Amino acid sequence: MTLAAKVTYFTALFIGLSVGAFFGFKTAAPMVEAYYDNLHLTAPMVFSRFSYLQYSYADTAHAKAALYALAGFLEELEKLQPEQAQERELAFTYARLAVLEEAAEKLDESHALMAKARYWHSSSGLRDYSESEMKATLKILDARAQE
Amino acid sequence: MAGMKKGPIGVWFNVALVILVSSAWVGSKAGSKIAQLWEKHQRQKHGMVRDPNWAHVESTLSELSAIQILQLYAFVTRNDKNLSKKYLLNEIMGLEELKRRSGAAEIGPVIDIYLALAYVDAAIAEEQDNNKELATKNMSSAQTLFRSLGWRDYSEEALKLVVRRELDRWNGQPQIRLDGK
Repeated sequence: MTLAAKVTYFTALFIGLSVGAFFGFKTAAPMVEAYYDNLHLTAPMVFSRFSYLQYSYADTAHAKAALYALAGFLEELEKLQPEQAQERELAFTYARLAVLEEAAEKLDESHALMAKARYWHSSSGLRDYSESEMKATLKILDARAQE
Repeated sequence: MAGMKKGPIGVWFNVALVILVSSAWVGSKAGSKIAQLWEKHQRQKHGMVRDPNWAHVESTLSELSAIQILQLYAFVTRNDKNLSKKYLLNEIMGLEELKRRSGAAEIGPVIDIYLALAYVDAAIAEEQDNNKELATKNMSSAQTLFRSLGWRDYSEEALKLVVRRELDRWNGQPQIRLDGK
């Protein structure tokens, strides 16, 4: 291979890598930024739908496990990145747990869970609902979620 | 004569062009990877990733996001008969793979439910194509998963109804009502 060939090939390699890296970075950077910015907003929806389906169709033990798992995850996320939407989700997750405990006639647990539900509801910037208002709102939400 | 003179230059040019195009491709992949590392570095610098719990939360969020992306591909290709089967299979394989390498224990049942729903969807698709054996196999895989998830009713009819409702949610259409109204 002659020196001229080596120079040509090296130049092609250098230009290719530089131009490719520049456009690769330029194209990916806004997408990566948007991905990280929205990750904590969109991804929990998958968890939330899972817990809702378990609440609607599974036995009480599995439904409770799913709701507690979601609540635990959202609380962890809330400590790192507080968000009103996830606070509302937490409120209704605890309200669903309260409804399940009430159905099992564990009234003390139900009230304790409803207190958590009310706390997260008011933390999210909404009015402090009474237990009956929380239950009524949950009923409407669950009827809508079935649609 | 002219061909002989142009020959070596033509070969040089072609080789240089191949190097240029392939290095541009490698460069763009590297650029995209650099963008990811850059973004992570920026977030670390601004204190968004300093908390030790963040690694766990971020990995869970990434896995949830992967589920969402797999679902999205399967959904947007639904109207194309060939592509829809391909992406439904891709969703199933992707979820199986995610389940194998998932680090977070709480994510296991989440993957299972979406995997089970994808199996029911695949069973419906195979049934429509008169592939009874595959349809039965997919439905049976779904039922095994739903049973492990503690579902009260995992009959074929009930599961098909749930999947239709889930698809209607994606479509933003009203559900199929049980009373037929």
